[in-house]
Amino acid sequence: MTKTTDIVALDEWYAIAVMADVGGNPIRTRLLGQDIIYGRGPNDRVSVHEVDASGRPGAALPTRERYNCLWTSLGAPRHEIFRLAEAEEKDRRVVVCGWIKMRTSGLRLVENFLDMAHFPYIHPNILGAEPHTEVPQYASEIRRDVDEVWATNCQFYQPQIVANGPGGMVQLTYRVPSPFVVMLYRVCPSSPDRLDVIMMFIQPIEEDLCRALPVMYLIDDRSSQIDLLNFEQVIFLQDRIIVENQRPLLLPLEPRSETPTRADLSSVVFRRWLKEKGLRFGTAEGGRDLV
Amino acid sequence: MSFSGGWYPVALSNQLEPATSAGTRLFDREICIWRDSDGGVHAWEDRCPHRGMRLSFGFVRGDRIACLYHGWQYDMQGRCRFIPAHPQLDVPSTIRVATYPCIDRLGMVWMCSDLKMEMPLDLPIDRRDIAPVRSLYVDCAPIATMQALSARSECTVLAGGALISIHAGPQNMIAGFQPFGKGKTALHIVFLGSPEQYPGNARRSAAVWAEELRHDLEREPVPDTAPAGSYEAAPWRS
Ligand code: FES
Ligand SMILES: [Fe+2]
Repeated sequence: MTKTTDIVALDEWYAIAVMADVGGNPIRTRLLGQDIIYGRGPNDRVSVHEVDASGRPGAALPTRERYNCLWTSLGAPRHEIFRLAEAEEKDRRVVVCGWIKMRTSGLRLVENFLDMAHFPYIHPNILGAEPHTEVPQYASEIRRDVDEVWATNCQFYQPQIVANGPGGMVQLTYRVPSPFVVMLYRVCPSSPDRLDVIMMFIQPIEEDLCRALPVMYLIDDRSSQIDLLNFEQVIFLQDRIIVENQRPLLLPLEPRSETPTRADLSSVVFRRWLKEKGLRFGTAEGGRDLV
Repeated sequence: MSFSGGWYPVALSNQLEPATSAGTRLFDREICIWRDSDGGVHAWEDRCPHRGMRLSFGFVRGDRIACLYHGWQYDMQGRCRFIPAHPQLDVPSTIRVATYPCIDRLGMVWMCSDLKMEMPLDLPIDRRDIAPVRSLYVDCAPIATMQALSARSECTVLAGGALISIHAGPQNMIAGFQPFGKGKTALHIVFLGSPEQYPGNARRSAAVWAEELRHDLEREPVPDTAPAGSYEAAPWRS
C-alpha cells in the first residue's frame, strides 16, 4: 500500500524502534503505508527518512528519543509526545519487551488493551478467573484539556495479584494519550501508594497490520527480567488470537455496528474521540475496503 | 435461479462432533458451524455481535455456544442469553447472531446460503445409510473445479450443482459441492450405503482418487471463467 492521506494519522508521533536496536546499519520499516528507514549516522546522530518508490531515501523526518524508543512522524505533530511523570522517577525498573506483529488494525489492539471483561476468558488464571467475570462500573471520559481518553475507578478480580499470592481486586486506571498509544496504571502490590505503569506503543504499518511494543515502568524489584518478559509475551500471544480474528479487522466507529455494554464504556469513549478527531486510518469507515 | 441462493453442504457430518464448532466459508462469507450436545447442527454468521470475534473460536456447552472473547452465550436461535461481565443483566432480546437455515442430510451438514430464504432442502437422493470418505479442500475456483471434475470422470450434476454423482472406475461416489470462495472449493465425498458395505480398500482407493484430483487441480489451475467476485455465471446453474 502507499502512504495514507489521513492528516490526523500523519500528524501523530509513533514509536518505530527500540533505541538499543538503532545502530549504524540502516533498518527499513513501514509506517502508515509508507516505507521509512532509520539508523545512526557517522556523527552518532539518529535519523529517519522516507523511502521513495525507487528505494532512495527522501527528506528527513522529525525524531524524538523517548521511553527507550525512537519516535517519528510523517506529518507535522501539533503537540509533543505525551509525558509520563513516573518515567522520571529514578527507582523505576524499565522493562522493554519485544515487538509483536499482528494482522489487525492497531485501533483494535488499543481497545483490547482497554478491555477488562476478557481477562477470565483469554488470560485464564493469569489476569482473571471464572466465575469472577463481573466488571464493576467505572468511569471513562475525554479529557479536553489534554485531549486524552481516561478510564478511572476500574476494578477487576485477578487470581494472583503477586506471583503465587492470593486473588483479589486490582485497581486500574487506563489512559490513551494518542490514538496508537495506550497504557495502564496499576496500584503496586508492594507499595500501595505508588503505581506500576504498563504502556503499549503501536506502530501502524498498514490499515490492518501493526506491531506493538509493551514498555513497563515498574516498582517491582523481585521478579527477574526474564520472568517479566515471558509474562508479557504470554499475555500478548493470547491477545493476538483475538485481535486477528475480529471482524472486520478495522475498527468500526459507527455506534450500531457492534453491541457495547457498560463494561465497554472505555471503548465507546475511545471511538467517540477518534470520530471527533476525524481519524480514518485503521477504521472500518475510513480505511480501505479490506476484510 | 441465481447461484448464490440455495442449499450447499459445508462439512461432512462425522467431522462436526457434538459440542464442537468450526469455521468455514460459503461464497467467501465466513460461517460458524456448530453442533449442540443433542446433535443439532447450526450455521451462523461467524461474527459475535458484541465486538466481532469469530464465533467459530467459541465453545459449545449444551445447547449454547459461548464466544471466546468475553464469554457471551447464545442459544440455538442465535439469541444472546448471558453476558458474564454483567451477570445480573436481563439480556435484551435484540442481541442476536445472524443464523442460516441448517440441516444434516446425506452424511453432510447443509446450509442455505441466503439468511432470509425459506426454501426447503430438496435432494434427489435421500438415504440414511452413508459411508463418509473425506472432505477435500482444493485451491481452485468452484467453476474450474466443476469443469475439471466432469472432464476426468463421468459426472451427473444434481441439486443445482450442490451434489455430484461421480463414477470413477469401479467407484460410485457422491460429492457435496461447496463453493468456498473465489479460488477455493470443497468437496464432501461419501458412498451411498452403510459403512460395512465399503471395506477399507474401497475407501482407500476413493481417498487416493480424491488426492489425485486435488493434485491435478492445484498443479494446473484452470482460470475461473466467471467475472471476479461473481458466482452467478456458473454454467450448471443456468
Ligand atoms: S466479542 Fe463475543 S463476547 Fe465479546
Ligand atoms: Fe488481553
